[in-house]
Amino acid sequence: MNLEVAVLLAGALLIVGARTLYVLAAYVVLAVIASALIAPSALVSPTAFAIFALTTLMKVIVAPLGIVWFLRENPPAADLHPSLALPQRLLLAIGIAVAAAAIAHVPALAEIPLLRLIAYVVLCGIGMLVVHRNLLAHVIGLLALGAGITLAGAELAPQLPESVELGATFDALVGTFIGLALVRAFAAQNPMLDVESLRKLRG
Amino acid sequence: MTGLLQALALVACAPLLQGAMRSLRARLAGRPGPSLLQPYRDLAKLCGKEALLPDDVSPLVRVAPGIVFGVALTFAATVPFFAAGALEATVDVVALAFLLGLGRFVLTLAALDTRSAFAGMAASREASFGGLVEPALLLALLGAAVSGGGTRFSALSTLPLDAASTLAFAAFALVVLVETARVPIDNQETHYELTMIHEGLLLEYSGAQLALLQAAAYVKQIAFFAVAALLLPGDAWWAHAGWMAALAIAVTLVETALAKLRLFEVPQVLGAAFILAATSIGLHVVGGLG
Amino acid sequence: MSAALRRIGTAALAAVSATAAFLAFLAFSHGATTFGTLAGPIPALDLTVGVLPVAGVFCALLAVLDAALAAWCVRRGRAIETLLLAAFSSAMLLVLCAQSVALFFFGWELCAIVSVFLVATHHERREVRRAAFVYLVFSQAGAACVLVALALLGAHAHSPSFARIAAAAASLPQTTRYAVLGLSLVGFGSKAGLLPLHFWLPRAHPVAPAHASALLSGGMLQIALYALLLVATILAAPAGAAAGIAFIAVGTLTAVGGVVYALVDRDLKRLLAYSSVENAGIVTLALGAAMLLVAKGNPLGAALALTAASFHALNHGLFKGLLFLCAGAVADAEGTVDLERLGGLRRNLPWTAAAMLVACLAAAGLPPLNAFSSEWLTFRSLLQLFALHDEPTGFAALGAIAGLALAGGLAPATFVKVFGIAFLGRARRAPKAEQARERFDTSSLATSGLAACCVALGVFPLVAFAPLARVSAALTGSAPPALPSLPLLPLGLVLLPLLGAAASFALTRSPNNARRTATWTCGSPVTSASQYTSTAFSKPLRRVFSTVLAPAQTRTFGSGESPWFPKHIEYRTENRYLIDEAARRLGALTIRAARRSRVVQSGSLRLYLAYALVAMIVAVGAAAR
Repeated sequence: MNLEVAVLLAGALLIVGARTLYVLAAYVVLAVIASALIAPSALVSPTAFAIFALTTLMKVIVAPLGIVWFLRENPPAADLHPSLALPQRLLLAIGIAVAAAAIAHVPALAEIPLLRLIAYVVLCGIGMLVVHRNLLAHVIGLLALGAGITLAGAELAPQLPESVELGATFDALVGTFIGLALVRAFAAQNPMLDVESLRKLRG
Repeated sequence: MTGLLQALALVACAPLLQGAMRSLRARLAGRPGPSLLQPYRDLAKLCGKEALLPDDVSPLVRVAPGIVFGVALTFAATVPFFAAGALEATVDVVALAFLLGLGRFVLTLAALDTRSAFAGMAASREASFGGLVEPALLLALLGAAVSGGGTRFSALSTLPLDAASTLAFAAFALVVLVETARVPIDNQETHYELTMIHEGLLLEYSGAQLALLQAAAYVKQIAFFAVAALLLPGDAWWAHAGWMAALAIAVTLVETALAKLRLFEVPQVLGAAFILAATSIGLHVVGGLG
Repeated sequence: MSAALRRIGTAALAAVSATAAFLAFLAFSHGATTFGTLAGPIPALDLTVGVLPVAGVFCALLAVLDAALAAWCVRRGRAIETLLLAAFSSAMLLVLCAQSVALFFFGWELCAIVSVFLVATHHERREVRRAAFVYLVFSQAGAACVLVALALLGAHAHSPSFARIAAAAASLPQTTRYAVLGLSLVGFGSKAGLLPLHFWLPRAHPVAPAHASALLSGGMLQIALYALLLVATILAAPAGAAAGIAFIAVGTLTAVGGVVYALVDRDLKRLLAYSSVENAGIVTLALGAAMLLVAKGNPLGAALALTAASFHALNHGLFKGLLFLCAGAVADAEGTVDLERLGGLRRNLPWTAAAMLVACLAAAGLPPLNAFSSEWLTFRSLLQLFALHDEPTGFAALGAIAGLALAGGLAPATFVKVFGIAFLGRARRAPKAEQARERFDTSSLATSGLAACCVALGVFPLVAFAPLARVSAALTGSAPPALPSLPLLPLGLVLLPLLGAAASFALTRSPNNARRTATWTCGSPVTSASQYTSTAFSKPLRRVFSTVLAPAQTRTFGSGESPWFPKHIEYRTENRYLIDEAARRLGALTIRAARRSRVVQSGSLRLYLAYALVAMIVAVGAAAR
């Protein structure tokens, strides 16, 4: 119960938050909870555990630290510039919670454990991509999405922990390193990392 | 009888609460700050000063401060603290929201009558934001009333501690910030014309009338904190007093930590409070089925 | 000649008022009374006259409004308008005491026709003719729906008399019941001004003379709400939960939409028209709550909701009539009702200003005036819906309470603007000539009388609550609801503020206590340009609701030598009414479709003969089956 409340609040903060640090803190909470939930299934074999440890390190420590270091170098990126006003973001967060609860009631999917949690985290990640205009928010959203999908993978395929962990590793690699490299390149042109400026690329 | 004593106690302690919050805010900002009893001395000083009135104004301008003070006194006489309020059997949650609207209505009319541009600006903002805060206040308190069973203030203290009442409290906390004119919505210590909301309405008043208006603001503030303490768990009077002190400290911390919002972002905060309060009622509707 | 006509009209208004008062007294003291039936050529056209207790409430309202109008028309308005007002009032009274389908429909159509003439009094102006035409189209479309609904009811009960229809109401098949309720909502609702069929109201009211608008908004709108109440609680009772939720949804939407458009308007009469829309929404909301409570088995709660609905209709009639009469006084004195050009009217129109202050306080729903008690009652009746522990009911109640709270919060913002900009401060344009101060004549008597009624009902709500509770209890078949805190509520709320007002007034009584000085405007002289205007006052809310209002803004910069120093800046903002635009597009589409179908009427004799031949073959073939 308390876990669900923590996930609810963290996911809502992902969408409602307007500063990068708050959203980053919410993501870290989500990543820690997701890793704690996956940990029992990853302890079956040494390879799985090694990959799991690597993934968790990247998702929980390396990626956030990278983002914090980037913010130090580039202060204008600390503001997320959401495209919706606060009441609409709040309504979206509430709507996502209701949608996740509704998905969990679909009879065909009811046997999947933790479905409500997974659906909520995935939808919050996607919601972040839609609402925020800062590229850093997109990176964090992708990482949150990855956390949700990894959790889904662990629940749907408990007999294949290595595959799940490998997938999660690739996810984290892309999100952390490639994402940050892209962000650095983008920041050279647009310090505020506004994705709306990508419209100029239209032919 | 106890209700009357309670109302008098709340009124007497209201400037003390304001003084304490002001001193704490000054301390947090690194200044020594005024003494805790400074608001009492300010009020006494104002009562002794000469009152100036704009010429050629209607009687509304002369009558408005008294009406606003009467509204604040009625509010203080309604909230329970260590006993039920004196007017508790008559005035309920819905009536209170309309009563606060009456005070705002009269003060705004008086501001429009003075022909001052600052007062007109403040009147426009107060009327607009007041129009948005009153629904939020009503919904937040009704959310608590629907869970607690009854629109009387005494019924608010029997709330169960669940998600619905937490959301209702969060909405009410935002409403308290707006109604007591605290940063990040309004700054009580500013007199820049482009940033004033509540202060602008008081610009043309001086002397005993200004004392009445400021005393009304202090009494309203302590009454709002008392209602907020009602929504938190704990029934005894010392629990309420403790919660009120904690709320005062929390509000001062928020005032120090945040910057004032842009004017047109204030309706967003009010919209968020409205949505939180509506969600709290919605949770009660869904949860009521078990 | 016109003096004689005016005397006849005023006497007729007084007579109608007296008759209405008598009927109201009969209804309250004796219950449902039937005076008699005039048999028509066929049984369906029987005319039955009688009065129901619920109609008694609206007869009382009509009596007060007509008395005020009779006093008003002694000196103001044209003679022909007075006669038309008398005819309109009698038509409304006919609707109220109609107890058979034919008489009701005859009265309804008479109201519509006479009121179109009233709206089109200044028909030499083009916008008046257009507004009257739109009003006529809406009335007739609504009347068609009403006719079908009443015919369905009469056909089921095999009798045109309302008493038989009410007795047969419980056995109506479900589809017929929904059809009747839907058609009544469309027909009566468009007359009452419910969204989205309301948009004739803001066009008709600004062009009608103010006292005609007073009777239109204060009287006709309430009669339409009475008709809705009649169908929902008597003629098609029990309405059912789905109908209740539909009424609640329409009422909430109307209340919020009406007040949002009223907030940003600069024409006083159009603002008052939108405020009427808002209040009609509140009454429909309470009516829907009553229907829902009856369907869920709480007749005592439903009686409370019905009391709130009828009380609010009564109060709205009183304060809206008063508001329009004061607007009429302003129009007579200043020649305009544009809030941008008015200001400081309290100096020349002291009696109108006092009455207008009472009316604005009432319209804002503030204690101790009458609309506060009825809105408070509406909140209490909506709260009962949560105790039913039913999800659709709970969400409907949530929407209703949120909408009612929003409307109740935004209404004071509207009426602060009305009174503060028009009556307080100083004039915003140079006065045309030396204007005489208003004397206390019969028109001031009319407005003061209505204001006194508002204050009396506000301070002593039990005077209206007790009889209305009995009437509502009879409608739902339960005991009359009792609220022990209601009698003292308005007095308890305003006792301390009034004492404070007296103290504050006394504190600044003498020049020794309060020295007069000029307002501080940073040292420059205080002119009327330093006052806030009505558009500026409503700007924050126009911005907040800009997704709904979608104002069209244009900015033009006329630059001189350099683009950085424009010689001339023009900023223009215009409210757009999205429902009007949608309706206009629909109307244009209909006209285009009608033009396309004109090809059927080619004018050729042989083609018409061919049509007749084909129709005959089809008819014979269908009959042969």
